[in-house]
Amino acid sequence: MLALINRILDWFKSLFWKEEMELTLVGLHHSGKTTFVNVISSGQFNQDTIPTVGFSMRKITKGNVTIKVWDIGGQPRFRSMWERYCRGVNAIVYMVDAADCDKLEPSRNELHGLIEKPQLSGIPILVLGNKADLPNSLDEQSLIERMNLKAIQDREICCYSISCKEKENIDITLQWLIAHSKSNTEQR
Amino acid sequence: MKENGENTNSQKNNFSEHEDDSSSADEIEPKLKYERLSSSDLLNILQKDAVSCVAFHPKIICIGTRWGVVHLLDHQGNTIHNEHLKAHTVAVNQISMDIKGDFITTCSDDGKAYAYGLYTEDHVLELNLGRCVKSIAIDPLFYKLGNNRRFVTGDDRLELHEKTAFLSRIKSTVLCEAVGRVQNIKWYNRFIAWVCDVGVRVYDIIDRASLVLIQWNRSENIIPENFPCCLCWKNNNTLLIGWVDTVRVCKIEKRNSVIKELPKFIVNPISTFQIDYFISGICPLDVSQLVILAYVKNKDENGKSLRPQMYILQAEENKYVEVYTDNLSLRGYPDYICSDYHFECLVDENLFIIVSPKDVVIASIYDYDDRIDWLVDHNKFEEAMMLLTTKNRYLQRNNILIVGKKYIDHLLEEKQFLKAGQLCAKVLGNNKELWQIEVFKFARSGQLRAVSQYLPIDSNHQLDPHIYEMVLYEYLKIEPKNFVKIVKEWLPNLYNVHAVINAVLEHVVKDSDIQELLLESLAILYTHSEQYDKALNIYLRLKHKDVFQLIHKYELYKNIDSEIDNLMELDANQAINLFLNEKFMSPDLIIPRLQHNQYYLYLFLDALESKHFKLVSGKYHPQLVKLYANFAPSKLLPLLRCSDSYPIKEALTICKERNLYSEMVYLLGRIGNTKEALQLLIKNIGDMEQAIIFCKEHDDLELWEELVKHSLSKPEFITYLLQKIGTYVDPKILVKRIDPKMEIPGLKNSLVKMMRDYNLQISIKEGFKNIVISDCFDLHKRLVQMQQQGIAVNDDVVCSVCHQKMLLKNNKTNILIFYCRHSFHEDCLPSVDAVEKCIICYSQKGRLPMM
Repeated sequence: MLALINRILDWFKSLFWKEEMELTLVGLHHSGKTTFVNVISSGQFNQDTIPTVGFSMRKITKGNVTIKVWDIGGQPRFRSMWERYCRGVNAIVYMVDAADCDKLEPSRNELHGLIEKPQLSGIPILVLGNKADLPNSLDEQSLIERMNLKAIQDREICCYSISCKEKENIDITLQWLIAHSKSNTEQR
Repeated sequence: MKENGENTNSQKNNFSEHEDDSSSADEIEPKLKYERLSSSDLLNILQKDAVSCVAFHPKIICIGTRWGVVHLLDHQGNTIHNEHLKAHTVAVNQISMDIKGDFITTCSDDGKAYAYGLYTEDHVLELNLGRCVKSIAIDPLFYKLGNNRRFVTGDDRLELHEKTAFLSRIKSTVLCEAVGRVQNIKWYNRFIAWVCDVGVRVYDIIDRASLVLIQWNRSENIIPENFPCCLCWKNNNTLLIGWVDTVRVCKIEKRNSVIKELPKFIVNPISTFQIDYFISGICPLDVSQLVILAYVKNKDENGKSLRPQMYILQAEENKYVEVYTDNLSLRGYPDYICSDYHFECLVDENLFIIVSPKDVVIASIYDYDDRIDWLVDHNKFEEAMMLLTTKNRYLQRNNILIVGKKYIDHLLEEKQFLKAGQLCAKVLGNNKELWQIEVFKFARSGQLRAVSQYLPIDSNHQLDPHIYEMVLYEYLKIEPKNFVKIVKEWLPNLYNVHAVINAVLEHVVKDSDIQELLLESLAILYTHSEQYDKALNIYLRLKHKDVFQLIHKYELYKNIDSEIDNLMELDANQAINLFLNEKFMSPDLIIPRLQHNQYYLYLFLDALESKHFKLVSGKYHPQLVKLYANFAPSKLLPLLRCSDSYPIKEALTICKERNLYSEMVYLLGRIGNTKEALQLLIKNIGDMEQAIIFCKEHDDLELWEELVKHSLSKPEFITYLLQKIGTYVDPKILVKRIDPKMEIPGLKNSLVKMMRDYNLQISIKEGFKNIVISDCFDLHKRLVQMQQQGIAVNDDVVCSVCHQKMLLKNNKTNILIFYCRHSFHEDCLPSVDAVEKCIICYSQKGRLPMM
């Protein structure tokens, strides 16, 4: 009975209050971060995204959740800023080019270097293996292994294999993100 | 990346100059580091335009330019494209952002003030005030819903602009009229600090009340409004003000007494002081320090401005202590005035931004990594190592290995090899490769010895054998003394033993001075390589005591029978221990070899006797008697007593020769010559007690008489005898013989004692007698009782002669039963005489059985 009332209350709440969340999108260059933002904001896949310089910020509204996305450039010269833009966000989305095996190792090192920073402790991480449509791309299991994600024990971590081009798994990614929005995080 | 300014190389080192750069030796450790933003985006902006104001946010830097453009930059200076940005027509006067960095307000002399979101089209507030808007501040919580959508502008008044709920109308309220113009506004929580020509005011936005006016001194040559007034909220209740050349730190506190007319809060200046330069910016640092961007009052010889300076001050009440100074080479500094510079900070991060019209620089505190870098660069390794160990968890770039390696190199350069060696152990741990690299550095300087004792030698972390060999060769060449030490310390599996042996052999031939040392090490090495015979030979030649260990360890018993003598000479104890080993040869082989040295023989036989007493069972006692008599008389008597395997006569002769009386007494007693023994005891030893014990042992009346006879002449002997004798023999033999004239000390007591003893003897004997008699009666009584018992003759009883049943129906012979229970048919007995005694008992024992 109480649960029912709570659900009704939640429904009312969602009518009147918008939920907000902030997330930072990082990952090596050319892994598809900006493309991903474009896909989740407008559903448009654009093959020729120009490389992000510095960062770009976007606000995306999905249902009653407003997502503020810091999309940070992935080239080496921007990587020192990652930590700054990851501070205090609800979740860090780490994009990996699952079809580029050569970049997996630097990508893994950058990720583990990033989460070691004391300012970022406890922030949930969503690792996305992009470009699942390409041949030779790794699936989730091998990605978890190659990125050594099992070693990350101090926070919530999740890994999906997605394709921005084919819009594969974009919906579950969004579901995960929304589940980590501010009010949901506070409830936990 | 090219730059237009004066410092073409924007390296941190030459960007800031420390004030006293006189000598590098006592250079002061820097507190701040600077990084010029030099992205191409920013350079493009600065080429065409100049910065007029800045807002500093943890994620965004927002600059306004003289041409009225607003740019968003990231912390590296890259432009962030944002379609929402609004431009002014002339220079932007002030920019303010809310704490989330979502909303921004700008103002300009074009009379416009904007407030808008960076991500949203909603909530755009656009005002045309028609006056030069000099300053602006956004509500820090603008991003929140509700009535936070507001900002204040400053021109000739302080005015609040709020977005109303209906139709997005803007409602403007004048909060305060200003004297002159409002040149700066800083909003923090509920307080708005703002500046007009007369001074600084603080406004409480919740209570809608002005709290205070902090007036500023003005004089003829200094007009405050011509200088920028720098405001900075350090925290909730601390406001830093720097204006002209005066610093004020103010604290906002709750008023103690609540009076309706007066505001709830009160502003207390806690520190005010003057400094020697004009202030271009002020920010807090840590708990009690201030960072000031200073504009130097003096000009250079051409009337141009000097470099701006960064000061770190420790603020105290009405005075300050200068902690640190840097000269900044900002682009174009000779042409700028005090108000051209802007200085903002992120209080939580100790991060500062310094802006001149053509330059943007981020300054930050030297963190531990930077400090270590600096210390390393200035060869202050000890301090760096200290920091490394104490602040390890704060370090990201540096670790003990990186710094330690540099330190080792430095020490090697300075020729402090020992210290470097020590450091190796601390720094390199068990990393094999690192060790190898570092050890080669020592090898190049010929200083392997310095590091030798720190090399990892446990089996899990062994280095390449060559390294150990290198060290050994060096020792061999330079310090043969320690070569031995190292050879002893190191396990042979660390290096190639054969190679080292060859090297040592070479040196042995060459160098005769240190031959012994080298031979010793050679012996050890031979042992390692299992050439025990060679090792043994060397040890024996050197008379080295390690030989025993060698023999023991590798059981080289067979090799040494010819060396028994030498071994004894080397260390008799160890040698004997060795000889006594069970696995060793039999004593019979050893003894002949020791024959010429009686002492060694004694030592050996003695040890043999005490250790393997049972095994040898007196075989060597004849020899031992003589040896004991010579070397250890005290051991002789116990041997004589316990052994039967020596010729008594010879022993006696030996003892006689050496006047060993006690032994002689024993031996004499043993051969029955008790009289002589007693005489010896009394005359030569003079020990009455021993004499009495001796008499007691042999219990011979003659002996006692002898004793008495000998004692008669000595009164003290008599006393003693009187006391003791009573229990052993009849004291009469003594008492009768005592010379009546003789004076005997303590005679009475002795007599009493004697009598008592005698009396006691008598009464004991009486007691015995009584007991024996009563026992006798008792036993007799029992005998009679037993004999009176009846004797049953039934079917089981058989005749002891014919072994047939006693009771036979046909047989009518008589039956005879004795008390001994033997029964016979009368016919079976041989004769009538036999009836008197039982033939069985009688023939068996020759007499009647007990029963």
